[in-house]
Amino acid sequence: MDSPLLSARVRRAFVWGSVLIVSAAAAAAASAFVISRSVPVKPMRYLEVTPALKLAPGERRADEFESFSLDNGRAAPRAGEPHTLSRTRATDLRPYLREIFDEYMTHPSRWRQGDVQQGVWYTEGHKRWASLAPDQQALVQAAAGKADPARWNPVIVLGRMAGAFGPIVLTNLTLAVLALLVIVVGTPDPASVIGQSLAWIGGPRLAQAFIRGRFSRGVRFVAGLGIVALLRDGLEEAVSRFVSAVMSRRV
Amino acid sequence: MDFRDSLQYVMSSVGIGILGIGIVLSAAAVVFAFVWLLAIAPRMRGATIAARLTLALAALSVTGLYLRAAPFSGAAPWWKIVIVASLVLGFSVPALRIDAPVDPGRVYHRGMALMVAVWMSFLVLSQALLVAGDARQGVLLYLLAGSSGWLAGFSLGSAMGRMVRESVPVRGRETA
Repeated sequence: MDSPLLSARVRRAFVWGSVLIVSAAAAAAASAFVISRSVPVKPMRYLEVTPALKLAPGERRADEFESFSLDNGRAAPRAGEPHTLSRTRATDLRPYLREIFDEYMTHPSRWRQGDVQQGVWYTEGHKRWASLAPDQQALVQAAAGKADPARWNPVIVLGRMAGAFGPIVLTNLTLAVLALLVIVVGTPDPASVIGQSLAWIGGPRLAQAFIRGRFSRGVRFVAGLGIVALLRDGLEEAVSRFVSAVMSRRV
Repeated sequence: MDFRDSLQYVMSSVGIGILGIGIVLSAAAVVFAFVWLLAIAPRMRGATIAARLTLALAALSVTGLYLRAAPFSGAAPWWKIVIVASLVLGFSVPALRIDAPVDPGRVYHRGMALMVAVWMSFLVLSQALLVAGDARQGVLLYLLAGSSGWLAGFSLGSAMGRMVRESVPVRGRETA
């Protein structure tokens, strides 16, 4: 017997969706396991020398640090930004960063800090390999074990794509949802407005398919909800009364 | 490469595919949003406070969301002031023109359509420049902020102006 809350089709979609997600996660984990077994893990000195700094309340201490900027666009902290001293998660998230720091700590006399900084910025994926100086290329190659390692690395490519397209995707999808809301609130028959726009963009067949489809029924359902009607008419009346009251006092 | 690094590698490959779908969807979404706003905003007859308020909120929140994005950090530091100033200006213009004669049969507000088109053109142009790698687009971001504030202000101001016009007899119209 069908549950009153979930139809058989929804339940089937939910079950198959769950199976698909679990299978994809298992496939990803299995692939990661195979890759991790086939590539040897390089012993790191960097992890061992990360200092543990503990200060008692009121205690002062002077230490010298070599610092590196992780963001090419922000070489130094801006005024008003809080400064915190903590272990950065970037070494876990950004490929080759840990290897570059490890190489610098293992052979500090071989590399200059400026070259290391350029190598760190290279791991962001915005710098081209050819734009690096020979010393900088040598550092990255010694650390990563290959030339131009950032090229086609999916983690770096995803980071670069998310940096450029992330705000655009978020903005446009939000805009579409809000524009849909404007239509739902602004017109008594939003489905016809959407159908008309679909006819302009994709032709009359697409519009017909939409008008007969479930999405159209859903839009009509939302437009007919009591809360939308209350928002449409109640707000109008309340503001109208307010304006009338204010203006009648003034006139 | 340990297991966590390998998993990150595999999941990033999947993430690229998901983000790719998101990019295609968002490209379609901006076209639909443009058409929907152009279809509805100039045809809002009467005061329709709720619809105009939603339009104003849409313009302001989308612009705010976009300008707060990490790539624009420090690119247009005065954008909030520009939005507020243009909002006040956009509200004031129709409110101050209450006495101006109005065609009661008019169903299409060309000015409103133009405002939506200008705002969305600035948004799309800025997005194209961002994809091209230019996040330091100060003047364009200020124009985007100004046009969204103006659209939101004008949308609300014209509704309020109409309400005031309907609630009190205007001297100019009585004599006309």
